[in-house]
Amino acid sequence: MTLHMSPQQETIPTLQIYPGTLARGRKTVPIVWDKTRCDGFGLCQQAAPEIYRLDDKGELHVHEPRAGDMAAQERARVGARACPSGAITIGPAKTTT
Amino acid sequence: MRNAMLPESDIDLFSDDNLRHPWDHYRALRDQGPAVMLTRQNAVVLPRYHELRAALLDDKLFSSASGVALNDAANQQMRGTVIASDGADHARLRGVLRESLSPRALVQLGDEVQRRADEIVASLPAGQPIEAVEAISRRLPLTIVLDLIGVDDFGRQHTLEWADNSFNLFGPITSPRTVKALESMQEVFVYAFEVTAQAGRLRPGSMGAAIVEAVRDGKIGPQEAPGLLVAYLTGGLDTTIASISHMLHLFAQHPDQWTMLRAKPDLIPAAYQEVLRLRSPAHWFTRFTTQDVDVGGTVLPAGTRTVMLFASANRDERKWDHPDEFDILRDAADQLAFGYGRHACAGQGLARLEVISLMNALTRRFARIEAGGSALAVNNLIHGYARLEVVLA
Repeated sequence: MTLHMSPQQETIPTLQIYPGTLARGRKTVPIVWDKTRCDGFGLCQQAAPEIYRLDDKGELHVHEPRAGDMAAQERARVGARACPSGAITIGPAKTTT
Repeated sequence: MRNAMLPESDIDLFSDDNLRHPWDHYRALRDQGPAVMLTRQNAVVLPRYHELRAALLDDKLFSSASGVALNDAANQQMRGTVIASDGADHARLRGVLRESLSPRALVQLGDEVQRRADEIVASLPAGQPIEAVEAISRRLPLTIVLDLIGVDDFGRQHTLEWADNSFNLFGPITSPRTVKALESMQEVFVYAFEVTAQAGRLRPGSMGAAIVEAVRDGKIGPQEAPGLLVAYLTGGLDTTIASISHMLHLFAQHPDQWTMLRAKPDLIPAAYQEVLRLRSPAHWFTRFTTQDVDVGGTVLPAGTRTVMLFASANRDERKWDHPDEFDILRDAADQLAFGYGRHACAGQGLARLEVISLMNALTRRFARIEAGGSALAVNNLIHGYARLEVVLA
């Protein structure tokens, strides 16, 4: 077993896929939120409020960056890195068909 | 469990001197590799940032279920508690803490914590030497945390002593501090057992009472309640107290950054992340590998006791530029002082609220913090101050 390690993108074994990420034909970078890990500290929102919003019920709402928008993707990564529980993963840009 | 590939170190991380001044030893370990065998402890340490972060995230490979200490007796004692469990058991126990400690639960607490921080800061004399550990660092956590837990006077009088012992408990059995802690922890568990078993001993509406309610509602078993109360009693004090002292000491050494913070109070939350990075209060916990695992090219066999050295990772040259320098403008949002992953500190929201409230109050009143004499405390796990003289002006 190899410890998967990548400073940019961390792998999470079991995923709860954010509903938006399964839409067909989309060209955004999926942001995957593992609710079972989320403690609701809201540090993602503090780091990148334009991408992440944690509502008062503890649900996370995300603005997924467009595939070509590198600046927004970097902001999404900044927010994901700030999560103390490792509950947010940024996927590679892809088109689901 | 020796591995030919694995570099070895015979450093004694638990001598008084090395507990006070571990930084050069941590750098030497980082330079040896991503995983280093500590021959004195028969445990492997992960001293670098990226490997440690990945290992903390993978709680299946790096398990907490057999304890997170460096000695078998403590690991036996803590088995099944929130810090020493995985999977469904851990989720159930953590759920109780999460309900009381999530930011949503803390929202209504924010104004009260700031009010008490303002009161403490208003009471401090300007321009004369004060001993800050007693006068500042201990005061806010003691008033806030003990009220929140809802303990009685007996609990209040003993909590600091219990907290000190409860962190020494994690050390190697060869440390006299560990042996003393093992002997004295009986008292805190007896107390926690009594107050969670008898109705009305913990203030109604408190976090302690919420544990008793979780038992009543069948969310956790009655045998699990004392452990959760001990987690509150011991986890929320020495850590935050140490962190407040470090914050004061760092800004006393960097008056220009204190001036910057006073001009831009919006920087306070990020500045506190940098305090946590450079001066992590809890230096480590351990895990136990469940399978052979390759860490950066070095194989740790299944069943390896592994030291997760947060404080070293937070100064890893491979991750941070000029890691030993204090710089509040640095992006330290992903520092590891609270751990990382499913076992990340459940009380970190409250800790942040307390320290940031104090920083708000201190920046509003004082233009300068000057440090006088100081003495670092010696504890197997917590790095803090025994004494810190300051002049606030």
